[in-house]
Formats: sequence, structure tokens, C-alpha cells
Amino acid sequence: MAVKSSIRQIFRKIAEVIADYVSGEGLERGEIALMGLWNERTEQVSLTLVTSRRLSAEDLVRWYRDILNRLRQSVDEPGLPPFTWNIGLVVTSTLDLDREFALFSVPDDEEDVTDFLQDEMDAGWPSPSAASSSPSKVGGSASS
Amino acid sequence: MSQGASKGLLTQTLADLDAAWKEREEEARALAADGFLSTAASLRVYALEILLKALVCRRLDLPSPPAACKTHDLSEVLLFTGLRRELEEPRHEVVRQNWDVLVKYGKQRLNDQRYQPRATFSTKDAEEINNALDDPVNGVLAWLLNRP
Repeated sequence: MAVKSSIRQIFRKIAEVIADYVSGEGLERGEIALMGLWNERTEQVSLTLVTSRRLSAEDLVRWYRDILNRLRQSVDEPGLPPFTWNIGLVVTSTLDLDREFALFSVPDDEEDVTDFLQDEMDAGWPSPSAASSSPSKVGGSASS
Repeated sequence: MSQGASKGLLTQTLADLDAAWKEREEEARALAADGFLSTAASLRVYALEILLKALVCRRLDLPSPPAACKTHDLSEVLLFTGLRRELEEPRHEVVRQNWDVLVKYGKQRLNDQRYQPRATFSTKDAEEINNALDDPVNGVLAWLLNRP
């Protein structure tokens, strides 16, 4: 991945926060996928969090709110413009995680950081046995 | 060059933008009524971009958008409306969620959609876009239009 190391640190934190949150919601690693785009010019991060677990509309709103608040606590720094202003997050549920990887498209001016995020989710996942079932290993996201 | 254009500003006038976003919405409704959901959704996101640029003109008291608004990136245009901080307020958390849905569509599907069969765009996809725009309380249009 060509993105600079300072940004990789932020992606690492993002993956850790999300892994911690969704595992706390009782999900297995294989039920969740985190896909991402990075735009170096605008410094925007576009995250898509997909789960094969069926979630109600209320749960989707709650996940969005909780994850965004945790990201604010984790990546925003006092005295600096909030980095989370640059983070877009879409939380959705699906019947087929592999299909979501296949549909994930990468615009010309954006970089696919999905593999990095998925690897960091594996690394940050609390259950030591769960990482082997990471859906990126099954679906094969677009290369970064 | 259109009337109103000057150094540092785009050529489109506020009046053009006001008419254009409403017309794109009208065209989208007509297409959706005939079942052309993907093109309708694309037009609705174009309309949102135009509406944002009109809002920039109003809030900056300019006859045309600043040249820095020459982008199709919704997030970049939003900055010039002065509403970015407001979007982070807890009372707007669902508006922000809807905003993110629209930005994702604008980035990841809008450009490619025109090359794809309409069957690749589902009724559920259309509902997500329409709800993100039209929810009477937390829709992005309500947020942008219903302000003092």
C-alpha cells in the first residue's frame, strides 16, 4: 500500500476500534467485512462496514452512532481539525459478503485500502481463533 | 461566458443553479415513475450537487460558486456551505448517516452506473438513495432546505 505511514496509523486505529465494537456486539470475524477507500488529495476516508448478520434499521443507526463516536475519541486530536470530518461510514447488512467485495468499486482518484483494513481487523480481533475466517480471504477484495 | 462570471468564480449563475437542481429532480421523478430507477438516482445525486453549489452562493453572497467548487465531490462542496461542523452535531447523526450514503453512491456508483445494465441497480438501492434524500426529519434535502 502506497499511503504514508501516518495515515496507516489512522487506518490501524480505525480497524481496531471497529473490530472491538463489532466483536462486542457478539459477531464472529467471518460475519463482518470492512472495506475502505483513501483519497490522498482530499484526505477523505470512505468506509463500508458490511455484516452478514441481519440488523434492524435501529441497530444500523446505533452501530453508526457508536462507531463514529468511538472513532472521534480515538483519532481526533485536541486543537486540530477533527479527522473524523474526513471519514464517511456506511453500515449495511447483506446476505452475501463475497458479493459485497465483488461490487466494491474503486474510483480513479481513490486508493483501495480494504486489504490493509481487513488485515488490521484480523490483528485486532479479540478472539485468537477467529482471524482465519476473515471474509477478505474468501471474497478477494480489489487489490490495493 | 455567462452573465455573472468573473475571476475566481464559476460561470453558472445562482439563478441557473436554482433552476437546474429543481429540473433534475423533476426529470428524476418522471424517470422513476417509468421504472428507470438507476438514471433517476443518478439525476437525484446530480441535483444534490447543484443544490449544494446554489447554497454556497447564498451563504457566501456570491452571484456564482467560487472556482474551488469546480468538483463533483459532494464532501468538498459541502465545506463551502459552512455546514460541515453542523453535520457533526449529535442532533444530526442520522442526517450524517444519510449524507454518507449519498457520498458513497456519488463516489462508487454514479460514474459507472451509466455503463451498466439497469438491472444492476435494485429497488433496494433506489430506496436507500431516496430515503437518504427525502426522509422528512433526517433526510439530506430536509436538512439543507429547511433552515432559517
